[in-house]
Amino acid sequence: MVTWTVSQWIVLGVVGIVFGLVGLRRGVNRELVVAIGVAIAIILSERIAQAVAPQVNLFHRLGRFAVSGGLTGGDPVSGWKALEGQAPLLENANDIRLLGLAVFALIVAMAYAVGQLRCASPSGPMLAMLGLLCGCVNGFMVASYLAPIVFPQHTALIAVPSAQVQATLSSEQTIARVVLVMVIVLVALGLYGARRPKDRQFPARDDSR
Amino acid sequence: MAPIEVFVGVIIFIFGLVGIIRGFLRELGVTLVFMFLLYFLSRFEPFLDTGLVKVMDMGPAVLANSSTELLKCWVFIFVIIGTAFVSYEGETLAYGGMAPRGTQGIVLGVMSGLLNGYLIAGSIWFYMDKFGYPLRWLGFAPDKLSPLAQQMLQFLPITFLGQPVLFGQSLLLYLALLLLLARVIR
Repeated sequence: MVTWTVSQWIVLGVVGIVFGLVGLRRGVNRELVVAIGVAIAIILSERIAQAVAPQVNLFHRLGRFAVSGGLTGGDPVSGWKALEGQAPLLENANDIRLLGLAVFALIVAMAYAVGQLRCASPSGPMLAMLGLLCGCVNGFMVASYLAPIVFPQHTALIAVPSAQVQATLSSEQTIARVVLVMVIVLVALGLYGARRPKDRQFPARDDSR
Repeated sequence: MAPIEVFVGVIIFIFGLVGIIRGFLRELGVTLVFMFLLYFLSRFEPFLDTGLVKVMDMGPAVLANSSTELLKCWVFIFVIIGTAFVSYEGETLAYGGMAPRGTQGIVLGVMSGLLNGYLIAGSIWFYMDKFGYPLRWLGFAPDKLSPLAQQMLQFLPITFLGQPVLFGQSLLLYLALLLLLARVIR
């Protein structure tokens, strides 16, 4: 088996490029909505997962009970008791973490959808470039959340120095630089939006949404 | 006396509130001035230091106080506070155009106010730390810094933004030039 050793910067670079290109296409206004959504998802996803885990197990058990015949089956009481003895869907901390990952993906997807529906596409290169920067910031935040889950061990089949990836993402200097980029994006957006009326080109209405 | 990070945090918070009232475009004028000031201070600090030492060596007849570190600290703090006063008083430096309104205006005002607070209060902290906290009556001392405060030292404006990024020049210069360009071309 061939093992490729990949620098952590390539991994982070690919993530940055992907999210950056998405941001370039969508524009800064939509990406700012996503940034807020990602921040909310990072804060709330694990808490929501822990809160709904018992309900998920309950509904899973109800579903299996229904599939096995439910109340119309031969012996529903025995059927239910048999299900109670079986292991729940979410057993341990790792399962709940995966549920948190699903909640995170759902919130981020909703943020992308809300941004797509509520905000206009970029009307000029400036908004597109700011969208690129904002997209990279979003990619950084998503990668920071996913890295400990995706790379729980030090090496994978493609030998990625995951410890270095996590160290780079969680380094205080990296976080400070990302915050600085976000401040620059917001300042640039504010200046762009504060242009005098005679200098503004009213964006064409986007009917493609 | 509260820990220095709390003290600086409160000052930054107050500047954030001031930013809401003054508005994003006026705050950005102050940011422009401070970017240039901090670049100048970080770039020419060794020369300023040497000059100040020479002035202080002129003898006790001119300067009664023998504490050179205290005097140097006061000079830099005076420069920073004086520049802040002049910047906040002036209108010429404000960026032109229509200030953003509503939530966007408030968010941008807060952000720019916090940024200016970080530049001003952070620079004062930087020089107090550089000269060993000579203003003992404030209650700050090098051995009284909490672990959080020691961690925050690397993110003070001159330390963090003063790192060389391109052609040996610091980010302060490029940010100042970007702000100046935005001021001129609008």
